[in-house]
Amino acid sequence: MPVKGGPAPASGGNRREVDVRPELRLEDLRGIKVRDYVVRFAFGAVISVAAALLAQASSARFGGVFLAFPAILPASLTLIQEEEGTRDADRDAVGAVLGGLGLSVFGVAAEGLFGRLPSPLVLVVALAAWTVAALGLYFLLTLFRPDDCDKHQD
Amino acid sequence: MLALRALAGGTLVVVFSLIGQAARPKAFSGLFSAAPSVATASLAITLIFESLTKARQDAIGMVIGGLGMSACCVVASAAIPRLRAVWGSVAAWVAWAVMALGLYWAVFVGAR
Repeated sequence: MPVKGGPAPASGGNRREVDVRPELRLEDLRGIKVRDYVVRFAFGAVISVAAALLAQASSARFGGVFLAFPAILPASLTLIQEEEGTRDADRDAVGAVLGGLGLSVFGVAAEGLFGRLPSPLVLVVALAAWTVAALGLYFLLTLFRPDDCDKHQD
Repeated sequence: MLALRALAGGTLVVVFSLIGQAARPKAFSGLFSAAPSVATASLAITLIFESLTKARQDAIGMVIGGLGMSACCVVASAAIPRLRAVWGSVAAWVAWAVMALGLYWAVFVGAR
């Protein structure tokens, strides 16, 4: 969905097109560092265990709060800032704000549907709810702050 | 069962991280930094080995945690350019703790 307009006029006074279309570039996965993903795996494993232990020690509801703990976000932002610059880290954080709101939608959907639908289906629907919420909020971001989503500036 | 939780949670975190790595633009890629990876894995294990009631309680807590995650990211977005990565990350975690634990206290402890 190219959005016309942009922050800085190109030479000659023509405003260049802002490209906010989401895409997956599988070729970008070729250059990944295995160590970075081992660290992410470790963070995910530790927070999963911590949430379970907190649930045992206090209540499932309190443990549930930690299911949305930003375990890997600071590590990811740090890596992005070091390798791709502060702007990219900032843009990633903006996207994560939207994903975080989607997490609450996931929780609401799961809580509301447990007991009404088969449990495996509830998880699928909750994941779909997160996806719809996150993509919907991203779409709104592209409308109101297209420069934040411009691939040419990444 | 803790080992299974660790394996499932770590694996889903890596899967969503890989999707985020391949995604462009960066603001879109950031969505996957806050994907329900640990939540999906943990809820699935709770449903299989424990009870529906417990999974439901987990989900209620997660609504509050998600709001904390958004507060964390807002602070990260403001703090990382100013404080650089390490202190910006610390500020972001503090924001999560204040928002999530504060809301938890306000809704489930203080309101009683």
